[in-house]
Amino acid sequence: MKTFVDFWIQLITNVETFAADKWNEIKEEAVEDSKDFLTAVKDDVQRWLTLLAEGKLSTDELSWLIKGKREVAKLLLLKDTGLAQPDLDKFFEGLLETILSTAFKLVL
Amino acid sequence: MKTFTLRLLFPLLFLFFFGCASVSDFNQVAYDQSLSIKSDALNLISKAADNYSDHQSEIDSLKLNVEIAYQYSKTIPNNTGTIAQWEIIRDPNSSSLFGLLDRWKSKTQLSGTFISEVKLLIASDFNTIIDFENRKRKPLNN
Repeated sequence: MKTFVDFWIQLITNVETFAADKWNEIKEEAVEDSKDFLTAVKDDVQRWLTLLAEGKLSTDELSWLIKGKREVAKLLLLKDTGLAQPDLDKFFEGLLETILSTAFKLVL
Repeated sequence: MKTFTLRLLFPLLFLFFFGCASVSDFNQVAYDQSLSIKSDALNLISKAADNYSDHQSEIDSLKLNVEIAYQYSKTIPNNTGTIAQWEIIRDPNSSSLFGLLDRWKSKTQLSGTFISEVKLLIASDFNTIIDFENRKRKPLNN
């Protein structure tokens, strides 16, 4: 398994590609929002990847936990705005796919 | 650039006109409900290494209390944010409480490591709901 630093560097690159490919018209905002989300979950993701590498978490459990972070982010957004944004699910689905695919390529 | 500006303008205008009006005043009942449900949820999740069927009555009771809180939130004017938060909690397809209970049911038991990690997530979910309620404007007679 590569180091967490390797994973994080690759993840940021992949997130920028994701933002450019899928959210081109709001790329800068999408990249910033993605990086903010990644920063918020970084410590948890690092701990989960370690647990995955140690065999204490399954890949399925890792996926579920990362998706759980999405729910926390959505709840926080609702708290801050009082409104649900219609593109939120679509944005986070793509972001989560990017995180998971990067994690599985570098960890497994 | 023009298209981007127009696409940004509409949600900003929407937020400007409706953002301030969409938050209700603080509600003590709602606050107490969310605290109580958080405590019950975390206590129940701690038992998820057991067979799901052994805790069916507790699970049903928890789900009922969530439903009561959700239905109560819908009776409060300008409460769209809190209502949407409870909808995430009670969505079995989400990775929040009801989604977790569904996972427990399908897997029969959950692993100890996963339980420890998921309790942190569920606690964060409820802390967000509780914090949101607590930060709402307090009525003068409270």
